[in-house]
Amino acid sequence: MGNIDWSSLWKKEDWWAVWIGLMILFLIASGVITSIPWKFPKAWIPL
Amino acid sequence: MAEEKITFIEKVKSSILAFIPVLVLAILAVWVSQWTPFRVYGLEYVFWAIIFGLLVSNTIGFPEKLRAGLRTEAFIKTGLVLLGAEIVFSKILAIGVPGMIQALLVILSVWYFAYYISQKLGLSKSFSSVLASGVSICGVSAAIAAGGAVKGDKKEVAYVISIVVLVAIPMLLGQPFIARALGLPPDVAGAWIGGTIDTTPAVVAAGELTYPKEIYGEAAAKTALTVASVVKLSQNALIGIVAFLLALYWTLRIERNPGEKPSLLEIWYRFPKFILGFIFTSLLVSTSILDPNISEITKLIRGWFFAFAFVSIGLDTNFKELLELGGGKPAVAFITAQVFNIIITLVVAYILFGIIFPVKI
Repeated sequence: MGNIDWSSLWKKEDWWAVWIGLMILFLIASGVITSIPWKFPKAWIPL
Repeated sequence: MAEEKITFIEKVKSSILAFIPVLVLAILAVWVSQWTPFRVYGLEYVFWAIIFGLLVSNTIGFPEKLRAGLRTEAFIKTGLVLLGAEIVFSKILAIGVPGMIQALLVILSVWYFAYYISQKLGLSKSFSSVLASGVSICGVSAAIAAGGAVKGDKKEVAYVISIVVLVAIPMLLGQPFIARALGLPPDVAGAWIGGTIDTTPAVVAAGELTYPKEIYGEAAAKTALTVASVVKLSQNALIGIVAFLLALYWTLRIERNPGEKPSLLEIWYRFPKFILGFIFTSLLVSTSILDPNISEITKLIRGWFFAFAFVSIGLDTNFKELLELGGGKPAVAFITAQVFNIIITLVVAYILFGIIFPVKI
């Protein structure tokens, strides 16, 4: 049995996607993102 | 150590430099997509993002140095982790279970068909395995995993990666159109797209293009995108198992060297970890640990991550360069297998999602 390489938690792109995604969720949930008075013109909404 | 540091810093630098044109083109794509005449025809930001990227890389060109900094996969994976917050966990299961059944049926049949055709055309066993994994599972990462498992030639792996990228573009632009022409329900269309298109960013792009919200409404648009994404993730989750089985077969049957049996850890090592993030964010919202209304904001942010990924797909595709790969037997094998994949997946998706497990978001 080989050993699990824990450094992949901060080296691999896959984990980075998880950390960035969770960080964004945390920033929204804690009100940081929503407290910024974003004034996006409608044309900036990609949906 | 110093060398590693420089490499890391350079990697970050090239990613930041490459992000500037990506950001500019993504803003342009979103802006253009808001024009009423385009909205009426359902030409959403996805379409413009890919077209603008393709236009730049195939006319003025996108410098090789910056190209190395494109983070297509990272953008799409982060966007998918955020997408998890928009989908109730029970829906992920409702799509994931038939998605996994479809993935197993399609991977097995397409893998064997592609391997058989490649062998008939005289390709080596290792090249045939890499090519079959690229067509049947999920393109780039599967080709790399299979290449590692069978100790394949690096050039053969690079060839399969290039052809996967080339073929994904006509598929992502064509399949949504065919799905609409055939009148496929959004869940069947999503499952068909998720099961056939090889790269994850291209699947998400095609999922977004299939039933534009402006014309077909929010429910159809979201169902097609969600089913395509979850079916693709179900398929991606199997990479590790395929790589492990392939390595096992290779060492025991081809090289006949039982002393070098692959470790079971290979399955975990190859497992795409961002899928855990996708499931986790869905669980956070489904269990009300996070306010479900959070998805109103995550939707906007993941839309931008997707836009960055779609621009990057275009910027990373240079047709001239890819056509220089030449046709020949590997291309014939790949395209024949892909046509088989498109037909068999349509049948399986129709039975599973159209008849047995229909899904509505």
